[in-house]
Amino acid sequence: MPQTYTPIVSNTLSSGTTTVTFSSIPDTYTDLILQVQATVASGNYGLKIQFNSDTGTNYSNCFLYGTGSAVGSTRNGTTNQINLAYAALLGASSPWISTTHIQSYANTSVNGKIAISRDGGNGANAGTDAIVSLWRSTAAINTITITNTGSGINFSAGSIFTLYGIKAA
Amino acid sequence: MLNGLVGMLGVGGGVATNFDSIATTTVGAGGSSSITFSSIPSTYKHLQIRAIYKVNNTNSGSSRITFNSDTGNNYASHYLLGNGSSASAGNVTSNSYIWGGIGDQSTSYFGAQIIDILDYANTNKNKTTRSLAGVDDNSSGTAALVSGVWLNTAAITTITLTPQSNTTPTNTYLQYSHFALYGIR
Repeated sequence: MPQTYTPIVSNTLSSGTTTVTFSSIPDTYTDLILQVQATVASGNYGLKIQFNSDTGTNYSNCFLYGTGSAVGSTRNGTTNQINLAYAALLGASSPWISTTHIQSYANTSVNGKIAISRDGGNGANAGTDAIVSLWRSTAAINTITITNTGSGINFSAGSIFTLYGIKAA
Repeated sequence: MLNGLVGMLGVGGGVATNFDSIATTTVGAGGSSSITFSSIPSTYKHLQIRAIYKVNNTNSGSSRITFNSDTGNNYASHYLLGNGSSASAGNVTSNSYIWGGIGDQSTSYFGAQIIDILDYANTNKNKTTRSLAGVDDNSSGTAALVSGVWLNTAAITTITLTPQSNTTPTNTYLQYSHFALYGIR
């Protein structure tokens, strides 16, 4: 049986960095799954991704969130990033985790690439989310750029970023 | 028109895996009113459906799910929804399907749904599902978490997905909608 759920690339940080990039992503899978377990050097921030180095306002997000004391929903449109957390859940103590499903990422007949994600953290800012995001492009995704919403803030050593490919029959 | 099983089981040889692609259906230019996975083998522990879909009517939405062609009121769903401005929760009991979670689907962009069906072949249990679904079209969106139950202990051999329909006639999945069934050991 051909392998269906395949690790494409994994990066466990040996030292701090502000940006993790997965490039030259092969177009031979059906879906991608991005798994992140991370902390930052200081403060509390969100996590964001962009596809194919597109920094234009070609993204939108819809959030369903719970903070431990409140539940709610909000969204943003015509923005320049996919947000993988509603609030600043990425902190310096306990790791924040996220799983993002990027469906039919290489299908150029699909107008708009959709990502759905679940995340959660129990650091200084705690909460959990379900998020649906859209990149308004028909291009196959070949690059994913991962940063936090801080300015010049490093992901900490030991943070893990892994990309899996799922191949349908 | 029903689109049935089009994917093929893998032939012998190769690497043993714990996450197998069982079947795949991609909707053609004529659209499809439903998707059916049939003759599902009982040899896995759990199933997962991974789907993207677009529908022809904004009064339609994410997939209704039924098992083994049972259209009786033998299903229940509980959900948590976010519509971009508020969160809500609710349930649908004694229903003829498990609800997919999204009521008003974009006709411009594809929505996505991942459905886990745990212990699907165990004949000592009712069948439980877990779904993560969402759609966004840059002006509105919905994120949904849904749990469902089929009040039947039969092993699941057939899964049917149909677009949520709030109007008549029934709605259709549009071209390039894609549904894939996976088995997990």
